[in-house]
Amino acid sequence: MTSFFIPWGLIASLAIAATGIAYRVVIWLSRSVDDRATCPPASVRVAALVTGTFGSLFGPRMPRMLAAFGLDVLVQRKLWQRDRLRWLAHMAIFVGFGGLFLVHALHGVVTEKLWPGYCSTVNPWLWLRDLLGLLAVAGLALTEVRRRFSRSLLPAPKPRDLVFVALVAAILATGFLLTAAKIISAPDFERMVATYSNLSAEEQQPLKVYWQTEYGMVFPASAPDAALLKTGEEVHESACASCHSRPQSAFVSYPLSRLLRAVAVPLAAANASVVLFNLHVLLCLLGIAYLPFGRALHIFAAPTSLVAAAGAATPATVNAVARRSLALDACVRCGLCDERCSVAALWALFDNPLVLPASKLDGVRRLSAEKLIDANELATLAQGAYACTECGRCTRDCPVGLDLDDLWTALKARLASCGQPTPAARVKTASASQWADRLAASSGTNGAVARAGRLTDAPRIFSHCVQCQTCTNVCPVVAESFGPGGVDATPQRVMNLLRLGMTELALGSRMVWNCTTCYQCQEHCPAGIRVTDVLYDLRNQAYAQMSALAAIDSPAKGDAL
Amino acid sequence: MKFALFVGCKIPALVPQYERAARAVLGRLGVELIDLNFGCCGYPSRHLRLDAYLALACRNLAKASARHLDVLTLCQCCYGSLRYALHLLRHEPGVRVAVAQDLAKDDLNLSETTTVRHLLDLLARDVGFDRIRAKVVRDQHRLRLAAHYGCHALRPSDVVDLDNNPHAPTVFEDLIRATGAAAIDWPRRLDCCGAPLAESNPALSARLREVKLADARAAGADTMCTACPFCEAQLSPAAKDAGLSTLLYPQVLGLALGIAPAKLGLC
Repeated sequence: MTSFFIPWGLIASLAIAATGIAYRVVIWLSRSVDDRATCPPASVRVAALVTGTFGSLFGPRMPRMLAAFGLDVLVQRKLWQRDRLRWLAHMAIFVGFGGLFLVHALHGVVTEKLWPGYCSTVNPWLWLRDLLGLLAVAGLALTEVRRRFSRSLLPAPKPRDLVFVALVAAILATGFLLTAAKIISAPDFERMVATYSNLSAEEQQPLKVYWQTEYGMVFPASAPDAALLKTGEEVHESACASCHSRPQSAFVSYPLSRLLRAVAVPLAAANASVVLFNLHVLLCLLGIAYLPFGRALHIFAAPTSLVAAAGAATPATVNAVARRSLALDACVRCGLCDERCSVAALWALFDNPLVLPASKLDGVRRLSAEKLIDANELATLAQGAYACTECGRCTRDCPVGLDLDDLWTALKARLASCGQPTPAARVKTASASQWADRLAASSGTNGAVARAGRLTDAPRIFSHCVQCQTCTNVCPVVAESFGPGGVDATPQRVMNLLRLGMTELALGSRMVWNCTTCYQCQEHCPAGIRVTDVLYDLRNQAYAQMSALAAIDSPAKGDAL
Repeated sequence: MKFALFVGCKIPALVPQYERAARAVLGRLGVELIDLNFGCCGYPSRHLRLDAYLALACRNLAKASARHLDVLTLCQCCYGSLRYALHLLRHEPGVRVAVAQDLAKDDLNLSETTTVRHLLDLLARDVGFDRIRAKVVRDQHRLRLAAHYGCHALRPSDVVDLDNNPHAPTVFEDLIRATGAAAIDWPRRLDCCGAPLAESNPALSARLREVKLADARAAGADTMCTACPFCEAQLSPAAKDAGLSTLLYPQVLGLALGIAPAKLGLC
């Protein structure tokens, strides 16, 4: 059977896929997560990619790249170590669907070359096709069930992420239905007999009886006839048996064909097997064409990322910029990183999913694509970026081998260049007295816990300071801070500001933000004042008020970048 | 002896040899370590938001107490951070109520029965100097170590408890001497290494480090002995220029106990 989508539909879908992937490659080489001021131009990046690729392919790192392809791409070593259930689901889909692609879809180029006697209707190929299909269906089902019942922190998948899953499911469903429809299809029987045999009408009648009885075929008007069965078997043995194993070995499609038996006649009238065949082919072609556009891109991007990381030169070269862009496409949004993130608990507290790695990566993607133009969104991303403790768990756990630590470092540099530096760096943009003027208008707070632990509102904490200067004398920061950029207020002066009710003047002071929290002052204070804890508290208060102020001062839409 | 090992964020990322050496040494000394799904201790968040700090710190405490385990930290900042959270829970009723409400969202309960210990504290008080000395098979007399205490294990002394005397502690030197190594006396042994300012004020951070390294060298040390990933990561890159090297305490102890250097992350 040939589809009327072949060859032009195939050529068109391959062209779309190739164009799409080429477009992604151009994006990997033109867009950048990095700070745009320090990011090399596209021409330098292309040249680096070419030399880097050759250096890796023909250099000492080749064995490492091969090992990465085998262990990390094909066998999914990291997923196996982290989550066996997910590994099972992934491997079922990978082996099932990948096997069907190689053995079934590419039978002309692969299977027939390796096994010259290949015939799709003969075992083992007949049952193998059902086995691979069933594996893939089981994998998809397992994924879906796991998704429903897991407490994933990821936002729901986007429609375009689901398109490819739906396509794969539809390809599998039409495949099984097509096989089932052909098992019972009288028109197909007639066509096969006409094409492959010279049987006369008298010889065909017993063959039909035999196929109806033994092969599950449904003919519009013919009853089993025991007398003809023996003759039919002889005709079958000479004309059909060499190319047709019993359909019962297609252990999914055959039971499905029993369900379809009741509607066999209308199906035959509608030429259902031809329609299903063309639908099946069309869906496969759509799948190919859609490859570069949704989540399916990971089929191409994830292995590229894994192998490129294994082949990357150390220390990092210009190609690291492209690898960061590639990482944004290679992420499969599995959410393993979120589950183990050291600061995952802050997501709920901040009401900010961008604290979590997988969502943060989405934010980086938008920033990299210059879509992140809203100052609020930029501030949310900055909060997520600076909450990170750089523990490296996300990088160690990523089944796609993404160097997320490196991505977060680049993100922080980028944020600093577009008006979202770290809080400590922001403080340095103005003097303590300038901050005092600005913060007088702001009133940020940090919720119930912070209010309960606030020290600077309670005079009993600091009012008994006798200004003896012991704190200042033991402070290592004061001792090492001379000249411009040093401390602007000693710890003892900060305490005095609090006593005088001039808290605002302390909030942006270098002393507060340069404190190493070594607790020498607090430990030595003869009055028992919690000096270091107060400095901590002032930072907390300053951060809350500066955040509130940033929200008011936020640049108009479009100005943030 | 059984503890929930709190590895924290910085050790796996910056000084994985510390965890290796600590596990090897504690295994040899009969301390059982349990791995729980701990998160961040809260220390980095404490600079910005007390509620964020407590949300992180108290989740760890709740996880350990649900298993009726005490927490063992290797990092002094994790130690100080978790101890301060416990301190606030005990002494600030307002904080306790707010934290309990926050933890309830994750089906966690507050418990004040869990304590937090540091590796050095465990070795000195629970394992004991005599038992350590009895197990030493390779005397480390060639080493002249400068004990680098680290701030958050000593201060504030109403919160943390590495030594009974925070102004003149001896516990680290005693632990060093138990391995047969020499513990030199140096004036700046209790000062800050500068690590907390490494990102926000690198110049000041480096000055604090240089002063300490020069002081240890002048006092005759050949090696800085640390017990905190922040101190180790701060000192080790600059130590060579100052004519010093660095070793983590469990590496020194491990060598003395006859553990292969490879198992202590030394090769």
